[in-house]
Amino acid sequence: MRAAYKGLVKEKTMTLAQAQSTSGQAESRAYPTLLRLGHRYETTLGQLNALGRLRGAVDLILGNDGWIYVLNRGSELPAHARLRIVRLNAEDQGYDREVAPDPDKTPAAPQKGSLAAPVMGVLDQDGVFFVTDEKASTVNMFKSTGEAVGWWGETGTGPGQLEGPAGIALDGDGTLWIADSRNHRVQHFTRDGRFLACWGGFGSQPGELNFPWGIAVDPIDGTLVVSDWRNDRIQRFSRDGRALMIIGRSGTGAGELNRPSGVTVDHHGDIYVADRNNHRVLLFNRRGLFVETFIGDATLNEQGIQRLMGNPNMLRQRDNVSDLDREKRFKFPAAIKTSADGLVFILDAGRHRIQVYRKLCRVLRADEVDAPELHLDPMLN
Amino acid sequence: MTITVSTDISLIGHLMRRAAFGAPASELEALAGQGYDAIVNDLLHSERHPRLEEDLLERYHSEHAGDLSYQWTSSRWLYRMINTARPLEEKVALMWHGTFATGASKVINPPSMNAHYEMLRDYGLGNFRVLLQKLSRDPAMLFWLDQQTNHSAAVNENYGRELLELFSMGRGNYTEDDVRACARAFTGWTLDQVIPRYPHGYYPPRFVYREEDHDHGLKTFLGKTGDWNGDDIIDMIVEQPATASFVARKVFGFFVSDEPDNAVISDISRSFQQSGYEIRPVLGHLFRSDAFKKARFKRVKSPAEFVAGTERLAGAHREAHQFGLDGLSEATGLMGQQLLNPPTVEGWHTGREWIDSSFLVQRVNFASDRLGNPANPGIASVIERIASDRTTINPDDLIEACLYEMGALEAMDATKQAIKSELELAAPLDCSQHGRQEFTGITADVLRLIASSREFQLA
Repeated sequence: MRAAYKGLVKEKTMTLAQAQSTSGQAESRAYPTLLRLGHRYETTLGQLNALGRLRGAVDLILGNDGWIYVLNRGSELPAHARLRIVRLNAEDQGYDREVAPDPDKTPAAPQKGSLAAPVMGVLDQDGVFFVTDEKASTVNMFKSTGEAVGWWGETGTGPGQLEGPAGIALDGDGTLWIADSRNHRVQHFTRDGRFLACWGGFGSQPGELNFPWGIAVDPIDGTLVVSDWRNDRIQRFSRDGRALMIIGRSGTGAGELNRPSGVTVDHHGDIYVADRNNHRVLLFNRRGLFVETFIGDATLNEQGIQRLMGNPNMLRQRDNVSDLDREKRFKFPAAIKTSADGLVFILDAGRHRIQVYRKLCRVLRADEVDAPELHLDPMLN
Repeated sequence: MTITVSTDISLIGHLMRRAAFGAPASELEALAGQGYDAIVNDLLHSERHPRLEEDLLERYHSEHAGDLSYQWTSSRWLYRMINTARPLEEKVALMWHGTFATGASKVINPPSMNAHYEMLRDYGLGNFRVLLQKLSRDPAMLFWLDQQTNHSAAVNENYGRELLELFSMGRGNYTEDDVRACARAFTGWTLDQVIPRYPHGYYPPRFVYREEDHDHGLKTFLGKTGDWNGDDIIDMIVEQPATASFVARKVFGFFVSDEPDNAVISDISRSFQQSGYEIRPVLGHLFRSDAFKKARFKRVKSPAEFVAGTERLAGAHREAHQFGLDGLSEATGLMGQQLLNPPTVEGWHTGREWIDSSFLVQRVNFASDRLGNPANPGIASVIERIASDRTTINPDDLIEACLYEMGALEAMDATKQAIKSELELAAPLDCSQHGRQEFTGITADVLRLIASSREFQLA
């Protein structure tokens, strides 16, 4: 993974890379484990048009082959492919070819085994993408070349049946967790589709869900973190479905959520949430405390510059724009992924791009902090 | 059992086809208890009902997060027509869209087309003066009619001319000097430069008034002289009897009949002036008038009305995740009405011009496909309702029952006879559970033929 993004990890000032050797200790130590320095905006990838365009982007996947894969959903008209996978190279911001499932097989209506509405995907160690389809209610498998290698998923409400699968997460043991959205539950499957478990159910009480969207496995303790979309909150569950924590509530204020979509947990246990309808990303720590807001800092990348340089009219028009600040901001951020190198990739879906940040922090040794009980009461100092 | 269509249900069906997007009999029966006047009141005061929650719609069409196509705005509009609890709001927006025709063929900025349509929806039932004020500040309209090139030192008359000719008074009620004065009054009314769509998509433009570019000289408009600005012009326009006649003709043509009736138009015009140019009371007066109540099946449905109404009867697109919503805007386009993209500033030619050989084939294919499919929830419900209280039904009653279920439709005897002949219906049909499968197929075929009939094209 480090090699994959070497263009973005040249900077050696950050302490996160150094911290990786100790990050495994985080789960066993009391807070504070991190001295947070904030996040630094790094770069913007992708654009609206031209080769490798991000159009109708719904999810991104960090490949183990050095590429970022972006799932792009076409419109429903039969003439449009329902899935394009674009590979981006973060090192030189160039694009590789599109990996597109055969558009001739694009259905005019949802069909099993033929994508109708891809939502999210994961990549296993064998290089196979598992992509959920919320209208055909299936999980479809593809190679990185775009070749379809199978599908599974039966529509329904019974155990093991799916209604609008959305988020999908690969567990450390190679199994898959799926946010079974219209059934308002989480289901657990083997990669070949064998049902293992399900839990949840419709409602707004702890442990209940309302159209869950994203799902992530906490790499520290294996618990599941779910975007409880229509309840405007994040829930943490044990692997057997016990509700452990609720994060956030409806609103637009600090730490509040408005229809959260993608969610990811980095190797410190930090939880990044795409607060989609608030057009921002929120960061919560492992205890569910709100830490930080990202509103977008995009800059023009080389492809964007070339696009404008090749179009004198737009170049001139752009010079007459009042308030270019708008251009930096997120519009419906949909998904987030973090790399082991401390990079945070945010799919800025409404702006056809990925904004990349770098997490800056220092992992604290046990002998650098006071005993945790000294910090129980708020203090002014 | 022969179904007797009560006058009230038939009248309510008429009202719902005109002031809303049609309703199946099951909805009409539920409404009937309220009484006609109460239904009219409810339609007029739609603000009593919340707007549709669209979070699920946006989620299941998240590929449109970039707002890249006006077709998506069109499809979303059709979804609203099908599902809204405020149908008159959408209906009036459709009327004004055909009047203040603004199109994506020139306004290549989908967010601004969406804002334009929502402005028509938000203000369409209110005061006409306010509507013209909003229209004159609408970036899509301003760009559509070149207001960004209307400068104090170089006047562009395009918006000023159309404001008088197509949006209010109508030709023959002003002079060329009035056009010039109107255009001068709107100098400085423009939009800001948007961020170009490459590389990261569209940004909506904003209205700006540039005082330094406004012509502050004296202007004589409709005989009055002063340093008029745009809002002064609008104030003078709405007070003109010609404007009242213009609005009345639009309202009559959209809600009453394709064939003008000068007496009714004059009545609407008086009502408009008495109301202080408010649209809502004008429509209330109209819907309660005998002229409206008698004008049944006197209008050819526009493609948007046709598609939304058919989907309502079919019970389709009631769920946000249903596949195929994008196809609805394509369907109206193939029938000659590409929403948010009218052919010219004059809008669409309506009435019988909606029906040519190509458009008619599209309409018939669309409706017969939807209404002839018993898998559609609305059609399954119709079949169940017809079969629920009987074990057999004779062909004549089946046809009458289907017409009733489709919103208390009325059909000529020749049409009913043609359906019977085409399906070779003679003997009573078994609609018990034993014969349900065959009955379902035959009923779907009857509905398919009703959808293909001349009568189904009319509202």
